[in-house]
Amino acid sequence: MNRRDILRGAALTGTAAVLTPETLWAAAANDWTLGIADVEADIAPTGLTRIHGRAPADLTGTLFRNGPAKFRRPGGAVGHWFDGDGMVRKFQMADGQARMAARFVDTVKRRQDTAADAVITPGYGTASGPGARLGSADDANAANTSVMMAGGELWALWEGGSPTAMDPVTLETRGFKALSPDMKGMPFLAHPRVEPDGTVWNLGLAGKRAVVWNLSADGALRKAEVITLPRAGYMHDFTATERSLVIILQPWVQEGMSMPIATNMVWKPELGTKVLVLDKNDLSKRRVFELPPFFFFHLGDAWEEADGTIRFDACIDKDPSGTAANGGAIVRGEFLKAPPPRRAMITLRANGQAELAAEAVSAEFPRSDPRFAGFARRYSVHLTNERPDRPLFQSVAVRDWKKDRDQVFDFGARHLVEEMVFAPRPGSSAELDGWLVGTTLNLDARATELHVFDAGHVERGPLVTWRASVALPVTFHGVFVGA
Amino acid sequence: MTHVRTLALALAAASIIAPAARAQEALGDLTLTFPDLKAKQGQILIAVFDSPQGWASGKPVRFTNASAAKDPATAKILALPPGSYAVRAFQDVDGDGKMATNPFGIPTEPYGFSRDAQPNMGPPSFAAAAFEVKAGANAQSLRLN
Repeated sequence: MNRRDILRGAALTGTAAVLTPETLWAAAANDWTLGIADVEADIAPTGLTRIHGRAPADLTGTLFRNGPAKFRRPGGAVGHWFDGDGMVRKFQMADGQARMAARFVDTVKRRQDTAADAVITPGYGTASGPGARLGSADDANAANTSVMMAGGELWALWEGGSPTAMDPVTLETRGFKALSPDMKGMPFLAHPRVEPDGTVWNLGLAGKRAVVWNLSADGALRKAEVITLPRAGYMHDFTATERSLVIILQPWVQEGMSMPIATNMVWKPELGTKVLVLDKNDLSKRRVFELPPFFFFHLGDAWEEADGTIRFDACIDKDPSGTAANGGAIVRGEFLKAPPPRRAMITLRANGQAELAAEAVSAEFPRSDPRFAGFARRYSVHLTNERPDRPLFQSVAVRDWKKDRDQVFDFGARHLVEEMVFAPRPGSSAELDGWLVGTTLNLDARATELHVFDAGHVERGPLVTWRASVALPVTFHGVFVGA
Repeated sequence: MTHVRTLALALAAASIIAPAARAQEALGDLTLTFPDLKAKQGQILIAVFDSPQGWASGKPVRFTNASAAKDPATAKILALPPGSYAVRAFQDVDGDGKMATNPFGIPTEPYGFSRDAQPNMGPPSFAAAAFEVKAGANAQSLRLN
């Protein structure tokens, strides 16, 4: 809704006050919109109620999750799901009990929008409002996409700017993290690739240029190198093997520098998809593979086989008209009917050939056992069963690539299911020996629920489910931190 | 002839009167303060502009600096003809005389504009940062972020 629409509405009804985005939202809402509702305040630490099953005795740790939780203000709302204020949730499990807390990340953007009583900060799909400050990308940093642990700090991540450091105990915001004084304000994607020893690889993008970050497990900067990419393709995620970085350049190309970011993107399927493979030890050693055009947000961890073949799974769309466009629609309570993203396996061969094997299975939020990151693995975890009549997913799947078999648990139509992450069983090193931990939003109970599955028997359903006293909007990504 | 003589007299009279008139047109002194600096180190490099053209082309009418070690950091710009001015400043924390940027061109040293005008994918306009300097004492505060 633009200003003219508001004024026209006011002239017709004479009641400008009721025509705020917030009230229009409330009137129009389908009940799935609980998943993208506004949260007004932090959630103080509180216990969860066990409603089903029993927690594994040896499961001890914390699930941190991040996602936008404030979308609408009296003077104007975000234009896209990706532009809501980040709220970090913390679910602690120990001794069969679960507790939670949640706090908004205290960003420049949140302060600016709060002071204006309107969303004035531009973003992925939100235009700049009057008085907005945008001196650097961090002024628009929503810190709303993911989290990682680094040197005892919790970092809230957003792909266009710096990590935001938080206290993992209190969830208090400490501020933007400059990885070195001269790299202050450089972007850091929300999808770092973490080797089993904790070494972090990540990218940050500015058109055709990218910074390649290499951090030690404690979050200290080892190296940051700027490289040039073959194209300015939109990139939310990349992947890596033990030896290589694998960067997919989809044909959704940035053709301008204005805000909102999404308005600069042009779909050019005729360009196909390029895959850039860089040697981690020498970024000048690069190979480029060609694939048919596709759109993606998320990739699985990659691995390299003895003959040099690189493989990884991906969640792909035909083009950006589905998943990407729906992120704008759902904040308005609308849903664009579009095919869901589907699972695919990508193979890059030593002879330079590349293959894309797309499947019919709907899939998003792919994860795997982080102890196998970069190495040959057998399993992927992802969400599945996007419903045709509403956004988001209702099931979780474990894919066994070796046996070509899927295990699926269906929460049913009344749950919005969020990404599930793996928590290893203490003392075990076998792949996926442990639990899947994740949240759903129960639309009937109007409450967020925390579930734990035996990762080897997902189809049996949760071992334990706890229910929160609040309904929090759905999150994007999280990490499990064992105690 | 008479006309010429009259004109000459008039010019002569004007040349006598003009300096007196200019002296009456008092100048303004501008004090700039820079509160709440995060690092108390280096110099603040300050450029003063008197027109949108000068602002756009980066041609200041005055240039000065202030020590960031003082609290608050202060600069005095003396004897400005009354009129419209705008100021931009940055804190040269590393002392290299340049505004440091990261590899993608984003400033890594604190900077700011008069009237707290905000950048939005580039510097604010002259109009957004402009203030009036009047005869006598004038003061502006600049927040560097």
